[in-house]
Amino acid sequence: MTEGRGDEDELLELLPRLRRFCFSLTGTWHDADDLMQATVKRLLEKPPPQEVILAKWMFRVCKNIWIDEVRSRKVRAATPIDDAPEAAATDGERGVMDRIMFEQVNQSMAALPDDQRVVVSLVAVEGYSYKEAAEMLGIPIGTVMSRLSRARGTLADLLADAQTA
Amino acid sequence: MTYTDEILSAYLDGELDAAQMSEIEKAVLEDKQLDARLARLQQANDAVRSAYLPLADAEVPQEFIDLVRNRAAAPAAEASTVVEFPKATPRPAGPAPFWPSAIAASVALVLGYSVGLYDPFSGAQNTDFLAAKSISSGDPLYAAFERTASAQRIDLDGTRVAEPVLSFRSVDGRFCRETVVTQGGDQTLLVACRGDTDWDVVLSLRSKAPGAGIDDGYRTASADANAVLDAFLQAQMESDALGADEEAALIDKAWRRPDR
Repeated sequence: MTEGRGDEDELLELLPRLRRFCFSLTGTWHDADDLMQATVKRLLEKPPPQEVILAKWMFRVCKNIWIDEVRSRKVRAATPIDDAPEAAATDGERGVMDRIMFEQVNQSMAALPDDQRVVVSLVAVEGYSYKEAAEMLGIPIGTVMSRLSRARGTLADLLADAQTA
Repeated sequence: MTYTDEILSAYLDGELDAAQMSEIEKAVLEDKQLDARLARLQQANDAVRSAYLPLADAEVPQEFIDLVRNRAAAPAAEASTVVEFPKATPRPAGPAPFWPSAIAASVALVLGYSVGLYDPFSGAQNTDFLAAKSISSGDPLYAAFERTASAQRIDLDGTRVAEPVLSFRSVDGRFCRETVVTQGGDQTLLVACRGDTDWDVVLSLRSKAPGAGIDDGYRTASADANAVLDAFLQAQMESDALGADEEAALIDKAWRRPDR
C-alpha cells in the first residue's frame, strides 16, 4: 500500500462494504469486526498486485482468512453466542417487522454451508457476476451457479418455515 | 420443458444468454408452477438483499479508519516499536492468526496500550514483563484459567470479570490460555501457561486511558497492540487453538500433558 495516493483512500471507501461482507459471513458484528481487523491488517501488510481491482482482492483476502482461520477455531463456534443484541444494534432505523425479518434471514444465512454463504454474499449482496465470483473464489462458474441455487432453495425453505412457525 | 433451480436462479441474476432469458420469460407466463418456483427463489434472494444491503450504511468504527491511516502513514516504524519476544520456532508461513479477541485489543488500540506485566488485582505494574508471575490456586484468576471454558465468563470478585478466549498448546509443550479480564472500562489481556500446578503469566496487555502514565516505565506499543499479540501468539502457538471438546477434556484432567 505504498503506491502513493489512491490505495489508502480507496480502501477507506471500501470499508463499509467489507464490514457488510464480514457480517454476512459471520452473522454477528463482534465476529465481523474480528474478521475485518484481520483482513485490513493483511491488506496493509501485503499490498495487492498491480492492476488488480482492490475491491475484488479485498473480498478474496477476507474470504480466505475466514475460511482458513475461522473454521479452524471452533472454540467460540461451539459456544452459543447470543447475537441478537448485536444484530439489533445494526439498525436503529429498522422497524420491528424488519428486525424480525432480519433475524430470520441472518439465522437462515448462518445455517448455510460456508461455501454457499460466500457465494450468496458475493453475488446477491455485493452484486458480482458469476464470472467475477468464480474468479474471486477460484472455482468454476458452474460451481458458483449450483451453490447459489442450492443456497437459495435452502433459504427459501428456512424463511418459509420461519414465517409459518 | 422443465427447468432446474440452477437455471431459474441464473435467470434471476440475468446470467443466461438472451435466448434462454426470453425462453424462460415466456415459459413463466404459461406455467404457474414454474412461476411459483421462480417467485420462491426470488423472494429468498430479495429477503437476503433487503436484510444485508443496508449494513454498508452502518458507520465503520473509527479504529478501522485509524488502522488504515496510521499504517499507511508509517508502515515500517511500527515493527521496531513492538517489544521483542523470545524467539520460539516460528509457525509455518501462512495466514496470520485471526483472534476472537482481536476486537477487544482493537478497542484498546484507540486508547493506547501498555505492554507489561500487570497484576489485575493489586494494580501493581511490573515493567519486567517477562518475569514469571504465577497464578496459584488461591488466586481468583486460577478458576478462570483452570476450570472455565472459553467464551464463558466468570465473576472474580464482584468488580472483575474474566473470560477465557481460547486455549492452545505452546511450542514448549505446555497448555496455554488467553483470557480477558475486564474491570470497569479497563481490560487486561492475559496469556498464561499451565505449569505443574500454577498458571504462569507469559503476556499481559492492559488497555488504559490516554494520558494516564504513558511514560511510567512501560514500553508502549501505541501503534498496534494487536501486532504484539499476533507476534507473541505466532511465536508461541504450536498449532491452532484447541477445539471445545479438547479443551473440556483438558479441564477435566486438570490440564495434564499427554507427555507426562
